[in-house]
Amino acid sequence: MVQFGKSHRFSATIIVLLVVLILLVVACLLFGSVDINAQAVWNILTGKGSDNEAWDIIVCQSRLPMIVTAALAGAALSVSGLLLQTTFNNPLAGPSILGVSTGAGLGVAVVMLAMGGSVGGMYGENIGSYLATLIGAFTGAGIVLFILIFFSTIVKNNTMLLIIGILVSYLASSIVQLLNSVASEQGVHSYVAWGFGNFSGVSVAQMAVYAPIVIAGLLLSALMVKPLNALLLGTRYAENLGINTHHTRIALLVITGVLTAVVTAFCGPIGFIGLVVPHIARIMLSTSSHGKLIPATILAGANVALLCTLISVGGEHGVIPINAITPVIGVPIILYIILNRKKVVLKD
Amino acid sequence: MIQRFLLIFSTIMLLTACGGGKSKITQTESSEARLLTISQKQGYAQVEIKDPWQGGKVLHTYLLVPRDSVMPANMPAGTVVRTPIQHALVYSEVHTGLMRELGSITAVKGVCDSRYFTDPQVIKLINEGEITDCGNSMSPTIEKVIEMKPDAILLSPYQDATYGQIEKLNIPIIECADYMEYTPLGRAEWMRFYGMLLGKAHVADSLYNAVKERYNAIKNKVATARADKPLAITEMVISGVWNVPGGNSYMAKIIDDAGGTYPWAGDKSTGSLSLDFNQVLAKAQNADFWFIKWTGINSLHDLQGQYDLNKNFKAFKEHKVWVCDTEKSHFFVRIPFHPDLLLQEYAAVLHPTLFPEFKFEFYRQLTN
Repeated sequence: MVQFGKSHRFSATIIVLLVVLILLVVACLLFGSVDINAQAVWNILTGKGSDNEAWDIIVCQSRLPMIVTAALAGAALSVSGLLLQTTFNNPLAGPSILGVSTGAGLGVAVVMLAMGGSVGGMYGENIGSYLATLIGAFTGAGIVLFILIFFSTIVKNNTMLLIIGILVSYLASSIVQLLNSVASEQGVHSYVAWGFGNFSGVSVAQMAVYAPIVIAGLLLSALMVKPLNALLLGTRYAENLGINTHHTRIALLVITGVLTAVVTAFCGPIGFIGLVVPHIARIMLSTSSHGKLIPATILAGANVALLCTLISVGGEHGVIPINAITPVIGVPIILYIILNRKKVVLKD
Repeated sequence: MIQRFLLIFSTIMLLTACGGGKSKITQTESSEARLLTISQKQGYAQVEIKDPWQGGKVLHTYLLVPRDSVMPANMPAGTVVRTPIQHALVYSEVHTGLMRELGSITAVKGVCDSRYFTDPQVIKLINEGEITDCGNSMSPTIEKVIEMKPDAILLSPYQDATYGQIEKLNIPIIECADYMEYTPLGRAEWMRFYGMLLGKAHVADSLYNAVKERYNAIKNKVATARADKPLAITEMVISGVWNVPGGNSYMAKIIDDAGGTYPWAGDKSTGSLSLDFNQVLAKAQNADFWFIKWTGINSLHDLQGQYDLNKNFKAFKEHKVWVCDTEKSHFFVRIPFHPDLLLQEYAAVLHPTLFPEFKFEFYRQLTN
């Protein structure tokens, strides 16, 4: 059996993840709810078009934006999970566990239910409503993060902080339920449908807002490699290295909040990916160095989200909600992590 | 042949009974409603509701005994309901709406999910305390239910339903499975059952016959006058899912009866198909007309804002999108027992030359 050195292992992992990414992108272009033969897909992508107008629209305006949306969402949520796991020094931290997703969801619920379920519009009388949704998600995630940051100044124990995050998540869920109990039927229907998760809702025009924010968040997280690695060594050690741990934590939480909020606003509250993917990267690399983990997490996150998309739209008989698929992938990995915690967590 | 004879015989007997006075019907059988069978017995009426989710099984059997009659001996197994019911707890505005139309609104003494009610009369009675608000239909406030002492609870059943504490109160639960009927007239025919419960059988029969007559008149007019059958689709994608009515569904039947062609007519399902946008686009991009029930879409720009790719449908490009604002129009309250109104609107959209003077009540055409 071939044994890789650590640098070779990193290179090999990145290559494998890139190859899988390319294969998944091709699969998502070729396979979907509508059968379009490979030759037609190729002709459409190369600008020759097909003799079926609907196919042209499906490939160029539906499948391509969906692939970009899913890949960016998977990457964003996975990096958010990685940052939170390091910040709270807890392998079970993630945007959904800590309430950041729920907070963003609460913000969306307020906007959505206030509008009676008519969200997502950016034309005509609905102008700005999708921006209102975005602002709602940012505000909700921001409030949860503010609470976490506030308590982080009082509670120094990361496990306790994680528990506070979980409590805030419960509180946000409770408020969403209360809002639902007074909402119109259409509002409840819209909110429930949004809660299933969906990567196909971002139009080409909306991509101009969605993609830059996600890419900026990913780039900012890449700039946090040094303080992230320092945090792994413990707060005192990090401070001894000249890292302002308090400011670092705030910066990490803000990046996490922005990434989670933008994905939640556009795609719904996608569960499990943020929690699970960083562990996939750790298992593949067997390292806790963020210089290696962040790129691997970005690629693995994109791959997992694309795999979920492929499963979601792969059937002829209808759509399977994204959030019905992510736990099927996520739960076995979480169980593996819990059972093998000593082997997996933070070794270098 | 025998079945047809029995049907004609029973219909004649029913119409005779509608003439007034006490019912002389010995046996009737529903002609449109597939889930409902009504039989007149000596001293009571037996109503059998088929299980919509398990073919061949019975969901519930009711034995309707007039309040002023002695309880008949040797009745079969079933839930005994003393009629007319006078203190009803009603979960849905669909049924309070019918009760108002039948002149029995005073029998409504409690409702659930009152926030969804739009009928000003019911809202007024709730505010005045004449009608008790028993809370959420999924978990009614049991103390309020006990206090209002209902003699029947009208609710909408669902698959493998259990009704919690409500079931233990020994109050007849009327499982209103009308929404699971496959055809518009089939659902409307359930008003006969509700009429019997309210002691308004003859009023309900007359109302149903009038609805049926109007419905069939529109259907026949379209069928005989027009050869073209434009392609029509319904609803829209919401968060990635487009709930398309199945080929044997209520809406598919309405489109067919209104002289339209439904893209999923070959499908056998009676419920909805959860499709994605691409599946609908691939099959029905060239749909001539598009009907949507949604609040908040007031223009084609709004529809495009809801999902950008909506602009690719032929109906969108040709401005043939019709929207019903469900909150303003009372659509969900009125249509179940008046499918003729919906058929009339669809027929007038699909074949405008046949109904040039028609004024729309529910749907309106979207413009930029």
